[in-house]
Amino acid sequence: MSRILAFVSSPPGIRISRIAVGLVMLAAALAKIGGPASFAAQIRHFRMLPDGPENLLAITLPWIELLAGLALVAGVRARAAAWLSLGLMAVFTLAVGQALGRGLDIECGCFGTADASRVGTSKLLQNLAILVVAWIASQRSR
Amino acid sequence: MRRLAWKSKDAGPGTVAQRGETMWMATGRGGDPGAGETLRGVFLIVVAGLVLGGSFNALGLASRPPHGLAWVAAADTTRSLEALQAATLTAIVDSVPPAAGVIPPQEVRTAAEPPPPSLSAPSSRRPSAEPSGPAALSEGRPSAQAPDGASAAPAPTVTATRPARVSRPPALTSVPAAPPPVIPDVPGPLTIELATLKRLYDADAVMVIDARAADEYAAGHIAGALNLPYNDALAEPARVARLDPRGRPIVVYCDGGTCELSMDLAKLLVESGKRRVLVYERGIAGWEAAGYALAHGPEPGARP
Repeated sequence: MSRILAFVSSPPGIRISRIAVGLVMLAAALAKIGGPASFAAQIRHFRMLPDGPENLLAITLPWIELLAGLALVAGVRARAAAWLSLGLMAVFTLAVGQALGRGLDIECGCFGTADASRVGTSKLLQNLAILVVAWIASQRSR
Repeated sequence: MRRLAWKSKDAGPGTVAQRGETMWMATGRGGDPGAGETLRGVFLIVVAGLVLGGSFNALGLASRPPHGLAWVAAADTTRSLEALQAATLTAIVDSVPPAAGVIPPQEVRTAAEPPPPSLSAPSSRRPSAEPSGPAALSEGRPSAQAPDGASAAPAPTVTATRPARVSRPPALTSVPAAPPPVIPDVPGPLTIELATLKRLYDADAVMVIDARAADEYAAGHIAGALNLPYNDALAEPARVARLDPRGRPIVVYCDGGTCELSMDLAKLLVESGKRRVLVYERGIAGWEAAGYALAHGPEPGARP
């Protein structure tokens, strides 16, 4: 156990987690970047925002994800990108959690329209797993 | 420059030797900056993302044909639509007999035109097949009235009527084979209940569209419904343009419950110029629970 902890907090462990989170962010960004309209509809289905800002979010969020993913994979300003990914994943996990709690039967929209997975417990667990990796990635590597 | 500075600060030879990180340090990566610098990096990424996304969308909106998304979701005309919905829905629902049962389409098509309101007022409370009671006698019921359906005027076809002109046909509640309800021409989707859908469906006076994904459609859908998944309609406007309801209103449905595909697709249809778009919100669940006809398998002529 302590070996695992030592590895994930070591520079190789942090570097690997950063690349992994970066690839996830890139996949999510590329799936959504071309179809802001459907992404906006999916944001609306989560029923968290008032009418209006969901379009702005749908326009810009995929690009922020794209930049964060690129930075993580390339290792440029990687810790900043890891913090950002951690924050985004925390928000996404909250969104999935509240949808689950309210019993909304909706598409996740996490990876665009190609991913028809519904919001459910497995989606929540998947998000939590990415959240843990993002937390490792956000550690300071010396 | 900064990277060089980090390297000289963080990656002294002693540290490298102690941790056995020679390989990783050799890749040229130094350590991470502190919290302040990292926060600046977060800010930089967010601002760059906002600028990139914004300009991409602005370019899209400016190009021809424009693509992209309106900056702010158009403040829904929900409130005025709700008022419309309340007014028109009363008309539609009132025109549906409460216990209509299953009515063969032929009977519906040749149904008698309801008599004018003045005549129909007394008759609306009596069962048509029973001999007239004292009430009917005292009201001077015309004895030479033709039996229902014999003096049949053609059933009113479903026509595009402005909502203001929709009047309640008072006698319909007592005529067993009433014509299907007239759906008004409104600038937004109207939600309807099962009874209304069933009457329209039985009279073949409606085009039914399943807004769910193809595999859900194949697993069971309202018999005769077409399949137009919302995401497909969004991606291929041509499929919406190809829809030909032959002058009938369109009913959209999905799963029921909190499924929102039907309302999304209905709004899309309205935006693309379709009028008289209805949403059956209880969806396939409500239809199936009532025991009405289901069909299975993919849409005929659908691409694999």
